[in-house]
Amino acid sequence: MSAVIENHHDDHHHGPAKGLTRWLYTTNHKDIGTLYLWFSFAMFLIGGAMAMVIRAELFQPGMQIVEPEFYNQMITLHGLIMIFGGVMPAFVGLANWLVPMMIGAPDMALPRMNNLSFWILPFAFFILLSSLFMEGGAPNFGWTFYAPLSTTYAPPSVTFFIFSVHIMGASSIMGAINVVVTIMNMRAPGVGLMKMPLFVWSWLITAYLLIAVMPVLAGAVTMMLMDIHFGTSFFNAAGGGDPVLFQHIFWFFGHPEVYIMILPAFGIVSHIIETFSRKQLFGYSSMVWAMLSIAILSFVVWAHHMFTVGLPLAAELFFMWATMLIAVPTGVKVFNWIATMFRGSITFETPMLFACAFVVLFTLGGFSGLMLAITPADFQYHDTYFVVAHFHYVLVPGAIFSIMAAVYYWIPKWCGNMYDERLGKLHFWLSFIGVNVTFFPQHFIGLAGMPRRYPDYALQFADWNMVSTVGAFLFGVSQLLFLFIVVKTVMGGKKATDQVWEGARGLEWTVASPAPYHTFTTPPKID
Amino acid sequence: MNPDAKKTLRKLLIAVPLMFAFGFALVPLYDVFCEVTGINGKVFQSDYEDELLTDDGRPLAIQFISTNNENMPWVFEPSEKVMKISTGEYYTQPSTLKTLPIKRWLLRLFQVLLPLTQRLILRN
Repeated sequence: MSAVIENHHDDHHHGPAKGLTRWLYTTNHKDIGTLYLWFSFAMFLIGGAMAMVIRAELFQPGMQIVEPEFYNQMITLHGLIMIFGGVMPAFVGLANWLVPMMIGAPDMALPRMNNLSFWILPFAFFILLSSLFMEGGAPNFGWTFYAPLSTTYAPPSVTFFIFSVHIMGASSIMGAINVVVTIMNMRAPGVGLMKMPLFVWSWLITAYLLIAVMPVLAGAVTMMLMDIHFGTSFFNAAGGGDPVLFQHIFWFFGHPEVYIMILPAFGIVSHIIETFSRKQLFGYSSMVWAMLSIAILSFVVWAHHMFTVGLPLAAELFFMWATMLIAVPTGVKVFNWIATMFRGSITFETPMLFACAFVVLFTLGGFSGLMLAITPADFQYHDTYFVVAHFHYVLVPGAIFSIMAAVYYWIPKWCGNMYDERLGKLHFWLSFIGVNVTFFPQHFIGLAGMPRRYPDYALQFADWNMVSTVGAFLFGVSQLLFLFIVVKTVMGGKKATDQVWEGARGLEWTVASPAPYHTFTTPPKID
Repeated sequence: MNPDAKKTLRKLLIAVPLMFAFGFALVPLYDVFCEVTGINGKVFQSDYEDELLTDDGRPLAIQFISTNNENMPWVFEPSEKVMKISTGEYYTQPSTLKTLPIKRWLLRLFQVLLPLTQRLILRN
């Protein structure tokens, strides 16, 4: 997409308010994007610290550092915080910053709701984290909170957990509604649907997924609340309910949720590979259709998470084949990225390094997903470290690497300064080595039979667990370097040009660096 | 806000409570689905449902065994090791829980109901 931009001589008519109230009352999409991104970074570090507790305990067999009860609380909070506090708000932050600029809109369509959807989020996580200090401890039933473990046998703090999930859900739904209304109604003239940047497409699809499944999650936790406090028996077999029903409802939300955490990554990586290959993206329309297919298929594969509950053979076959079908559109995307790079004039700046690692390692995680999709094999892999390795491969070098790539790629546009390339590359290599040393051995111990969610393990798993813990601490420490790089870039550095990257295309690169507080107050003219 | 945006917003705001309701609708839908397809092993699908016989008034002796983890600072034991009952009646079995005053513990007690009439038939 190319554009002719008029001089925005009125961009600086009024800037941000001064002081703390700027952030409290802001309705500016860039401010709110920044808030989301810093919030998710804080949650990433908190959730990461919990991962360090988990890995430290698993460094050796036997109980060394924490009590089993506390270990269970750590695995539960680590999962919840990383998913709902780390990855999802980071993507919403990126959407806030980028979607209006990419489609030539002055702001999000519902700016006040945008403010609200961010500011309820810290309260949700405050409630969730405060449960650590409650009598009986924090939720300890894993991020999937299967009933009746999370109802009949849960600590009293489960009610606070339910409330915080309701708030997180409300925040996500409001964010998603905002994105859809913005994209569907505020595109600059000439930005047709099939001309939208892929990140915008990926978020449009993600937002529809969020609107479809977050209310189902809200329903599931409401049923739990009623079972715990109001004497209902949705998931209590003694009262005529069904615990397996909980798993169906949860995974009806849970599987689309998985794609909510990866589709925006697909958009980001497409932009970065295109820019640093200095070529137009290969197969734009097939990329859009692939994302749509993945999103639709995500609604009919949920029971592959529950092969071992005793599904009838027909259901197991259906969910197995439906799951495998997802490999087709995902394969289309991977081949398109490779085709984009093919004979490109490639340079490997930090965003490109993260994007390339994404393509390789996400594909690796996808392949272990295919292994898990094979029903009879899943009976062996179910609830082992193999599953842990699989979903960490798609989420850490998948979703999180894409977020890091996005930060390196767009931060010059956000704050007007270039990051330190040498430090960026160091951060990449430390993360790349750390992530693989952490999670690759978990495939082995999983296949050998080590169950997940246990604080102790049999002696034969000791060596690979030790390796995994060393990798985890390497990865954890290297994220402090990331924090340093981001702060350093915000504070100063080499000034960025407007286009920033030689091969960058799209409307956001046509505005000044740093992006003015108000952009596209008059719609750009698109050729 | 332009009218088109309002229209989109309205549709989305309707979709959210509909999907919330859909989550709840899954509960009866799931039962219907299981009944129609005969899957999931619900109680109402049991072949033996109508063949249950009750045998009230039969004398029985129930033994209570308690096991304590040696690391736990309490002793939990039934007040009677063997209890004579007859089937079809309700009984209460008091148990003793002695805690050692080391620190505060949060204990959760669960009520256990044994549908004895059914159990006994299965065991015969």
